[in-house]
Amino acid sequence: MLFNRHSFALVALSLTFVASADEAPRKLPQNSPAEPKEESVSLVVRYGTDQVSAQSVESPRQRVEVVSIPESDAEAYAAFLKQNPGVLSVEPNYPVSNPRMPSPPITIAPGVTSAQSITNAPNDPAFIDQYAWQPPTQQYPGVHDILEAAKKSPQKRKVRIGVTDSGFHQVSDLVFTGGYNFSTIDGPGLDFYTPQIDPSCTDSHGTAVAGIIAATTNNFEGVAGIVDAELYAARVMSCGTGLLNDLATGIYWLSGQPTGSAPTMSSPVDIINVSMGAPAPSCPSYLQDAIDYATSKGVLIVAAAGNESLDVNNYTPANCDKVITVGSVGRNGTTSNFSNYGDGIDVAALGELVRTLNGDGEESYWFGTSFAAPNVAGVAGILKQQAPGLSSEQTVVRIKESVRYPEIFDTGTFRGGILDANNLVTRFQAELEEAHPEFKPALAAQERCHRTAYQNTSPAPSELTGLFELEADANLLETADDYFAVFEYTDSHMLGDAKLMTATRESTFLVRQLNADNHYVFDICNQDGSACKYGQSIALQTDVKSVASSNCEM
Amino acid sequence: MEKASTKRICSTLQFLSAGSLALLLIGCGGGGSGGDTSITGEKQSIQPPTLENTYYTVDEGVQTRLVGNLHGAEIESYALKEDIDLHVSASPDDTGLILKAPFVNAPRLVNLLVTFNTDGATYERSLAIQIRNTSARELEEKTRLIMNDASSLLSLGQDLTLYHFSVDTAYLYGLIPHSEKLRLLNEFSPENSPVYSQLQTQLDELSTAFSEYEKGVVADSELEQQIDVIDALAEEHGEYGVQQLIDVSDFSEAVVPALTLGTLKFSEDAGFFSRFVGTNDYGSWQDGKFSLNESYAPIASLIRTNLSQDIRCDAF
Repeated sequence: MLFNRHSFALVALSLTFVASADEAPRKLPQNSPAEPKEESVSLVVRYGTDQVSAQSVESPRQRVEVVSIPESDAEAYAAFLKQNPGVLSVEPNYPVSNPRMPSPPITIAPGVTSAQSITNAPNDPAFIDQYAWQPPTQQYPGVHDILEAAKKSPQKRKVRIGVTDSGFHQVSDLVFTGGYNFSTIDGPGLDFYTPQIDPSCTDSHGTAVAGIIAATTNNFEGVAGIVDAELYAARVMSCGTGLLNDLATGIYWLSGQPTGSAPTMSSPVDIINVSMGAPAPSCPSYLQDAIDYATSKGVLIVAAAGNESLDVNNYTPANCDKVITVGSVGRNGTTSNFSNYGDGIDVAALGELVRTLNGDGEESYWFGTSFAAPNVAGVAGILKQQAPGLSSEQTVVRIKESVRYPEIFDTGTFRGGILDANNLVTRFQAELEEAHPEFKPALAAQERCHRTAYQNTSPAPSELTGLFELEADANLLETADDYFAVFEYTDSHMLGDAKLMTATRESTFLVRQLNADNHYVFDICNQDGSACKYGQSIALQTDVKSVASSNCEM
Repeated sequence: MEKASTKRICSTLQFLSAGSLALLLIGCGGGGSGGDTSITGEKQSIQPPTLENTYYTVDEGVQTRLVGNLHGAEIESYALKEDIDLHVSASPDDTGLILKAPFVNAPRLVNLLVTFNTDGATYERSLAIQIRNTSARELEEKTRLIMNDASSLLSLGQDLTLYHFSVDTAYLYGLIPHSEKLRLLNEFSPENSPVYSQLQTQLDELSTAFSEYEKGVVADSELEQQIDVIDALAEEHGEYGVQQLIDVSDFSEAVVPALTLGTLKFSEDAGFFSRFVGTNDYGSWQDGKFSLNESYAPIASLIRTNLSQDIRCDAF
């Protein structure tokens, strides 16, 4: 949607609410006390060029500006702006909030039952109540078998996960690597913990969301986080409410894009959890731009479906393209009655009795799609741990393909089935095994048993040591855009940018000048090394000892 | 017949039966028992004649002693089932039999029945004598070598090895992709040689003929003729391999000198068909060993210079 009268009314009403809570955006133009009070609306203007009008009040990134204008002038001003051929769109800066919680959190100390009764379970006291980790049973098919998936994960590295929210607190069981306050209501600024900005705010939504994903595991405290992660908090709301363009800004920041005063991230995060939203008939283009940018950087965006019991197509960013939208189910596998629904639900996850942390670091039960989404974000993190280069599209496809549809599950309410972490990891590992190519020093091939002849006649005999041959299954190339690719990492943890060494449609090919100190991975990608199917997770062994394994020299 | 004084050789030919092609040669000894081949009147105090073996291999045209102890027995007669001029006599020192085989044109296996007589008792000894066609020993050996190496000859194994190497080095050096390498390798198909089928048939026939020859059915001259045909066909077949190597010579000659010299023929020295060991283009024979020229030394393992060398990479 670009703009209409209804949208203006919606924005104006929301801003009225915000103002009554004494949380008016700091940078919105203030009405003069002498003049009759008129509500303002916030508009987001996107430009096709670098044009930015003189009225810009905030310009967190190029080509977008946020303007605040009296409601009575908004329509005319929007029409005026659209006359400018450089203006792509003028859209409401929707008020946004955490989904309304169907039930308040329940804080109960962990029971006496020890989680240690589960084989190799984390020692976090509340783990026994983290139902999402348990394997599905006939009685409880709505859980995700996360423990089994976590056991199978090789944990090559920490994933980097961003949480766009508010209500972040410093608690001992949860460590944020970094964060920033992007809320135009009470930001921007380096402080992102609630008590630093608004001690009166009791909201701890962001803490609860982040705790599900990445609370410290096996520390005899609190709850277990699904994945070992570097957590980044993008505070894009103020005590649970805010403006949608701030979410866009937070997404850009977490994706590594410079955003005004915030220190630019060294590299994009792997996953962003968005447990917030706004009723909107479509995804605003400025938000979709941010999501497109993030996904272009390989970032997966997990969005809560919302708790308004409405069609999710009317709730944003759940209705944006390229996000994975998460609806809520209970342990028994039935869809939660509060959850938004419809064809737009990509996957269902546990959104009832979700054990996590509150702002005081206490173990609490939470309800809502806000807490279903981080189950998906965490499980996606397990996958990304193995396959750091897996594109968001590939991640989404795999999550969707591995879901379960128990008998009780209503496929008419949600399109996507119930998250199954174990199935996801198991299937992916099977895929890797199937795709793993033959890879060996070229001279180790049996057909080259006359190694001396090759060495004697080579113009550069020493290079033969680093010459490897890869033999892949030609059937793995499913489209004309698919190429077999080999990447080189200089870092032993396979972090940072991988150098594309070869991209070819030949199923057998040579890889030259391999360095035994470096690390190499195989994948199927676009010709430029992008959009790799297996997230650059198929490691290639470069042990050259096998060269001498066979010889037919006389 | 050193005991000729005590023995009379009977040259009477008697047909065993009207329908039989086999002939019985009967020698008549001093006992005068005629054609009686049964054992009669054996006394306990008399020791029977003994021979060390019942199967002997002898060379054609050569006199051979079959070791034993006749204990004074005389040869009363001997009989051969085959029509062959084999002479048998007792060793003068009583230590066995003297046998003289005729010249043959194929190995012959003959069944010899010798009847001994001593003090009125007769004894029979049945012997199998394999007569070697000694004069055709080299021909036999060549035939065996050709048959054993037939698949290599048909597949042009030597040229195939060099062709693979040439194409593969082009692939390794990045001159061609793997798909092109596979395409080129498929191009080398000896079945497309104009004489492949003829050669294959001829080699099969040689194998059959040699089997018959060993049974004495086919003469060595027949083998010789067949090998002459194979020699001619092999030379023509070899031209196919040379042409294939010429087609990839851009690749091969980047790393080694020309590989297309010489014609494919059987090397008596090496014992196999080769374009390499039969010419000085690639090297020379020294002390029974073929040494490659220095320029071919880098690919020595790829050029077959002795019979035991297997240049295939699937040999282990």
